[in-house]
Amino acid sequence: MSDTGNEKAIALKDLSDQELIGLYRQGNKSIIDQLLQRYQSRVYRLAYGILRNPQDAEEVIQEVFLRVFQKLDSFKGESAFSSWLYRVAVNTTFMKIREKRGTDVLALEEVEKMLEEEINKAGGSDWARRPDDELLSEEAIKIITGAMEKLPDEFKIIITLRDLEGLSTEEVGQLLGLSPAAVKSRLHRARLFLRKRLGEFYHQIFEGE
Amino acid sequence: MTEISCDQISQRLVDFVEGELDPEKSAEVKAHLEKCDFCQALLETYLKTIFILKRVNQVEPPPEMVIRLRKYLWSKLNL
Repeated sequence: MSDTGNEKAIALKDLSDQELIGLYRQGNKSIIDQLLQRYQSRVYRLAYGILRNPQDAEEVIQEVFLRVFQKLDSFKGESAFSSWLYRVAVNTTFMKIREKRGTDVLALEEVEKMLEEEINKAGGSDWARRPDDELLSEEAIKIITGAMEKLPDEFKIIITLRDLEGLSTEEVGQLLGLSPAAVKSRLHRARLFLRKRLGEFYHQIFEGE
Repeated sequence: MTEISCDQISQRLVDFVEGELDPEKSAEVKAHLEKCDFCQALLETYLKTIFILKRVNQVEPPPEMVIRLRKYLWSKLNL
């Protein structure tokens, strides 16, 4: 790359999202690459975290960025670009879920009751004092990934946004149209559910010791 | 200070681990944890679950997918 090319790349990298969008409006379509670089991993992780299927996640990521870039000219900047992008990503992921679920949708209350029953069954805490390196095995990651897949989507999305992507409770609430209390309640139950599955796994592993 | 039950600990756990409980409620949780092994284990395993959870999903989009994404966008957006 020439010096000018390098300077251009560095300059784009240093600009804020809003500044990049300003350039896009002036006809500089190459800023799309910069926005993709910034956000493609996060959007993919969000979609994959919920759908657990690379092909579905790919369809979502394509749809998300197409919708966002088609509307970039009319983006008013009332919220941050990343919030808007996340909102589109969440909505598109939910659309994909609905498409896959068909009419077989459980009422949320029913799902919550099922989770509650799972959590309340006796579950061991005998792994509490185990050092992290004993707990963090590939198998444990598989167990928690498998348990994540069993979580209802309404819970999975909260765990993904909050614990995996690090959004705040308020941000998750705004994205999903939920109160902070509702976000926390679902987050808590989802974590307890995953904790229980891990507990069962570790109990088997450490039983003979 | 009011003594709280194990059920109340579970309800407050999400705020406690985020440091979002007010000082009085937080002190009640700490006092309970000091004398309740069951809730202490609950807290420890709850924190470890979050720790392990954060290791999940560190996925990146595969490079070939990124190439397809760019091609798809460029063709759809007529760039």
